[in-house]
Amino acid sequence: MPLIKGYTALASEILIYAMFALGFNLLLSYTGLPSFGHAAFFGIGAYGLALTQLKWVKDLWLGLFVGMLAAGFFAALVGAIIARKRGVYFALLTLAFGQMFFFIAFRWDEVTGGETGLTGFDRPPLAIPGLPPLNLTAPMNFYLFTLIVLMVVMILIWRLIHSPFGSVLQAVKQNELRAKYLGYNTIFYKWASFTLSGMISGLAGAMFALQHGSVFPQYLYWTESGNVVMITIMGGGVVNFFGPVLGAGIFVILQNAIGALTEHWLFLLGLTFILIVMVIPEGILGLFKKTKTAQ
Amino acid sequence: MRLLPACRPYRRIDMPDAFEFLSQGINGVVMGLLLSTIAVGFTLMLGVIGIINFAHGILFALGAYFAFTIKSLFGFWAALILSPIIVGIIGIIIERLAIKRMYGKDVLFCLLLTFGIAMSVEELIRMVWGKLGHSIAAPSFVSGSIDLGFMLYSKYRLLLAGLSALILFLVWLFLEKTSYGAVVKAGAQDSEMVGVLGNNINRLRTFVFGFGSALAGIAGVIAAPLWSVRPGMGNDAIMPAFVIVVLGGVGSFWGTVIGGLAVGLSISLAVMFLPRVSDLVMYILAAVVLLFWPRGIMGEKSLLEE
Amino acid sequence: MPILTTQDLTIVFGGLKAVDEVSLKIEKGKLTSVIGPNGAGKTTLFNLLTGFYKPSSGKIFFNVNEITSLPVHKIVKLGISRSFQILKIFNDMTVFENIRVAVQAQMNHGMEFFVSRDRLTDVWRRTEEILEEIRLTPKVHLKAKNLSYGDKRILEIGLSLAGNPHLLLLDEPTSGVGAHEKEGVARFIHDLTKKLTVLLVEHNMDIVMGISDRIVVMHQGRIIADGSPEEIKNNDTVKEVYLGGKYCLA
Repeated sequence: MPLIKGYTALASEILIYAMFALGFNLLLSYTGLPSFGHAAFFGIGAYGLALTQLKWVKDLWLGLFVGMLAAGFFAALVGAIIARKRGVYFALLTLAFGQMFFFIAFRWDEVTGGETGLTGFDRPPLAIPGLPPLNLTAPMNFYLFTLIVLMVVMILIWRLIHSPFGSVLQAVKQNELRAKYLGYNTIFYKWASFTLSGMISGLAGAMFALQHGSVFPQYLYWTESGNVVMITIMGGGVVNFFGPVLGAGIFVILQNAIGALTEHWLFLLGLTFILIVMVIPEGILGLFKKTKTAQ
Repeated sequence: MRLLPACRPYRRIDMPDAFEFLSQGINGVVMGLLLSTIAVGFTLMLGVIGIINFAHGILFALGAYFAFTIKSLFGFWAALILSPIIVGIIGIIIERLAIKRMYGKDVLFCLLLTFGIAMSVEELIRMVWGKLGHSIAAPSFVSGSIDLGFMLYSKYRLLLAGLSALILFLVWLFLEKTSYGAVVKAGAQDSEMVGVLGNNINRLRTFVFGFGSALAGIAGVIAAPLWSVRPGMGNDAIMPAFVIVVLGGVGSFWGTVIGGLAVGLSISLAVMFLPRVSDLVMYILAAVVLLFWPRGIMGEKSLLEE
Repeated sequence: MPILTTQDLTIVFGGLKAVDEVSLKIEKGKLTSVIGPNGAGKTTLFNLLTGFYKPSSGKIFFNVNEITSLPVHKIVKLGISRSFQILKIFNDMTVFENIRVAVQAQMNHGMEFFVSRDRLTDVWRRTEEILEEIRLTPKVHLKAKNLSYGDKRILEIGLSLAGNPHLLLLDEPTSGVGAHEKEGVARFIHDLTKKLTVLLVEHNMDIVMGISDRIVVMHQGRIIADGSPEEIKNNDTVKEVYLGGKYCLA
């Protein structure tokens, strides 16, 4: 994945990964479904935006919506097939579908540009009613835009989690059979959560495409799916709403800061992750949770 | 209605001829045997220990890399023997230091741990052996093609098939004919039973992890001349291993062999008829099997169920 | 008019008829117990009646509606509820949240996305009512996993009652409950029949004899006896089936 130049761009990158991880965490920690193929939806969002800019209309909102809706559409499709399952079965199915999407991106040259991907699209300006359009090429402007989008997404996810719908997701996570026996169509709720999660990941992917001005099939590879799982858990997403944000920060900083020093930053990242899984499986924010209950 | 002229040429479908078919069929079997060899260690680990070892691919890669180094010093046969042993020892170390802390926890923790291990070790490989790949030449007695009478075929591929079959046979011998192998086999089907029967579970798990790692390693050695040695080669091993376990069932030897052949043949058939879909084929197979026959063709263990 | 009727209900597992042509009529407002040795098919019957298993043949009617091929959640919505022998509660939720999510289902608020669930006053009120009924109000803020076993059992039953069922299936509700508490639970179950119909699977014969209006005896998937407690006590076939077992009908 491409490296960042400049601190503002770095900050935007963190926000984008945070969005991806928050969307993913809705599924993992709030519904109890582990997905190892979520990079597919991130990538579909990215390609959606890129293709809109290159083949249709250079428009910011349209590109983002197309990316988000395309990801949501495919998440709905896959979700409909796999919502009956859970646990490791579910995880393996997401892995299989994730790889299918990767290879489609890799092989379908005519549409996706194949291995070389899609490049050559800029950030369209942001139209604000009553004011001159905002040029998003400037890193600070893009950062502010990303920040606002992330805030909106976070508020929406927060409200969702605290709504009646959110409590059903929790029930499904903790005891799906009992949730069924209360009268909930649990398969529907799992499907809905999967689709929403896919949409949010797609939006993040679309933003990522805007950030970098390029899209590659690598965005959908299973190791990227593994990364978002890692980010989410590392920060403490399993126990805290903001865990994914922290995890995204750590990941991007390691990737870029350590990456500037040595090209072998992945080694450190892998080690960090191993240590966290072994010593503090609830992630960094999980540490604070323990101290809180100990008091 | 227009009548068609009697000898109007029809559009010819590009059908492969018999030799292409045969050659691809043999490729499929060769690939299938290699994939089964890769997967057999993985399925034993999953069956006996109950862990999904994402690091299996990287152990495969290590096998290839050690072979590369050893071969340049001591030759192919030394590599074939020593490399798996080294990888097996590394496997045991990983199990003792890290994996065993994950027992009893949710399967997903082990998945994540081994994912982290795979990531670090892959980078370690880049640090030690460089980013770019290396090619390993096949040993001289199997370079080039052999004339099978009706067609030419790569000698190394035949050796590869032979070695894979031999390794699989030796594993089968171990599982079926030795007393410890019987314990392993029983454990692969039902790990709880084994503890009840009074065997030392910890030693069994360490052994199986080491054994499975060595199997991954030796698969890496024999695959190296064909696939060439790259840091990312583990990914080409772990994915088929997953698919094969899904197809063949957890912990089942014959399931792994059948699953491996199924994957190998479907890929080579796809390469012949629908080359662009050839990468997708095994995942489609896996998804279909997971949805309708979750235990796989021959699996009995319900590890994957909750 | 029976509340639940089955016609030749059968399910086959691997060649074995776990439930074998069971035809049953459950009367409204009564407490019917289903007893039998282990493996007789009692829990399988419950799984069939609630839609968890699809029968190999036969039909099930709830009042006048056929429910044979309906999924679990639809059958629950029609008014059949169930408690489990192995507790199925939401361990990481508080007692309050456990009951609330159950009430929420019954009041059909599950699809509301953006309103905070604390704002649903009708759900809140009903949740408090139920907690009063099952006497868990003082423990409302405890996480379910931290309750005593007895309280967990009560919560389990509370969850199955929250949906205002017409028919309640209780699968060994006194299992694991201390001897001194069993009577209280038994009385509680008996009092339920004032509002709804109860179908009970239970191994404790004192309780069964004490509170049942009717007893159905199952053995190897079939019903071998059906009648009042007195009739069952004196039934020879039943005695034979239990002879040598650990059950005493006296």
